[in-house]
Amino acid sequence: MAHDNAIDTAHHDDHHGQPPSGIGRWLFATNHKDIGTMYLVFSLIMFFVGGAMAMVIRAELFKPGLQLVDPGFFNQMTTMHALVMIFGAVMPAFVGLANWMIPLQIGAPDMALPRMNNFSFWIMPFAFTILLSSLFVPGGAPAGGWTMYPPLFLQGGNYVAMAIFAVHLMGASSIMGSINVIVTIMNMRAPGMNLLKMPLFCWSWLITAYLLIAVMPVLAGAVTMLLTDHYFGTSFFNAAGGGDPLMFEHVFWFFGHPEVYIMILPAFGIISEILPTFSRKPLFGATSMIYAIASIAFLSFIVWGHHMFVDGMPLAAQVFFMMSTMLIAVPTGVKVFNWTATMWRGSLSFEPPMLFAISFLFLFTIGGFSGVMLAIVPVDFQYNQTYFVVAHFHYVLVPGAVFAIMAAVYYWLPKWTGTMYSMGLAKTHFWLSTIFVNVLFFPQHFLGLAGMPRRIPDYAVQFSDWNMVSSIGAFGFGLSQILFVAVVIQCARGGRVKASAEVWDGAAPTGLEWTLPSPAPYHSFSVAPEIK
Amino acid sequence: MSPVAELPPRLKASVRTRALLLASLAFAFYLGFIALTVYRSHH
Repeated sequence: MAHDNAIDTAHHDDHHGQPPSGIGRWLFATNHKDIGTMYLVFSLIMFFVGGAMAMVIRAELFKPGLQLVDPGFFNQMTTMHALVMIFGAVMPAFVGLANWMIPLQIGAPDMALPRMNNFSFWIMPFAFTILLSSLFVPGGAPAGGWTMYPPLFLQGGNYVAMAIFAVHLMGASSIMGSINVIVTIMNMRAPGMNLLKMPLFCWSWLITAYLLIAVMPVLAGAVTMLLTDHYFGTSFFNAAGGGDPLMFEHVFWFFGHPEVYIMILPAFGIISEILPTFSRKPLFGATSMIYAIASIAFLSFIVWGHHMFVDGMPLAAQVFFMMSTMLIAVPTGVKVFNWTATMWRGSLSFEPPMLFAISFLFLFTIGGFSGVMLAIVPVDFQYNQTYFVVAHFHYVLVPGAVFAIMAAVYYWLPKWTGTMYSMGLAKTHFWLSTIFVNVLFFPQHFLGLAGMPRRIPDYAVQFSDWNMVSSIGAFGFGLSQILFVAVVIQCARGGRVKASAEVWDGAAPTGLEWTLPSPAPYHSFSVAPEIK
Repeated sequence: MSPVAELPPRLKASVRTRALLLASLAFAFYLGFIALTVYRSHH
């Protein structure tokens, strides 16, 4: 790539200042690295909070019959697990990675709007404090599913206002984060770095940021209308007052489907960074990868109806949404084949980031295939509201998005901390995660095909065996993640082996971040590098 | 505190304009979709 000739300005920056000490460093942070770290730590905490809720769900489903929690609380757990994992774990993790890596990859000294960056992070802990506090108010937390469909959602207690306020805050945070990403990429690239020379991770985030700006306001609009329906007597979604509850589903999924791609496109960018490094080959079809991401982003706006096939819609609309959904398989296929071709005849080595990336490639594709199955209207009639859907989106989100986040952390952690982590521990984490994630989610395909409904605390006895297997997988997967925390903490406190600037043999040609020493200095690229 | 690096004036203006345009776009989507819902519920 064109970064080969980048001038290394890093060691000129070393004397440019040290991080401020004390709590003020974090409260008033404007440094992209500090804000990135805060996002990543916040996301890790939320990952464990949401994970604990998943453990409650799987413990209840370990055996048929009501075992541990009452059905109302079970429904709160399914709803909160989704909200916490989507808005609290996966999205902030990608924003954290964007904060850390975009300025380093484009040769910028910081994000374009550092104070807004601080604001968009510090909104998040407040939003989640409000959301999680709803567990302790009369009537409990939201329990009607993360999609917040009226009229069910509006029949709740105090949580209605709390959840809606929290969603508004998360939306504002995401929109500010996206504005920052777009402006940084458009205005702050080092001289000579034209858009086609930009690393794939930045490309994936540029497109994701546009998706966020287009759809987060739509979610905000939808929940504002829920709020006025509940508290101010409007009837946007109230049939008795002339409104239409189905309209909420349309508006929600117009946000909801692009949201799915918001959670996976940055993962595509990460995998496109890691596979070339550990294959010691340039990314196969790099330009087509950019077009593929852009095509997926465009298509994500015209497929929302596939979430609502059983809600009643004209046949022509069903056919349109089925076809447009299947079209997504084309650019996704381009990406999967390009990744495979990148590895083809490469000089492969299997360090933890590469292991997670290869696992992503196989397991995300399983989630993609079950997605194509669900796109088929008559098939969806059968699978809708079953565990098959749960298996599908968890394959896309856990060994898809979450594995990509872990791959990214294992890839860039030595650049952040300056020391290598324990390869043995990280590989153990990888193997345990990969085995248990399949034990956890693969049986859910069988349960769904056999007709087990989702979002229920009890089930017919014929589903017992696979539920027990799935729960064992869940406990194993949950416990394995403690290893991840151990690896990260050990590395952050200073490992025994110092990391070189390149960190990974084969990384240097892939991006400007590898021209900086490890750890990356607190202020980097204060003099822009020249890209030829 | 870590200082916020001051951008050159032309770049700063461009950053601000772009950020304001994107924020306006987001706000337009917000109001637009509420308006669309109102329209659909009357037709």
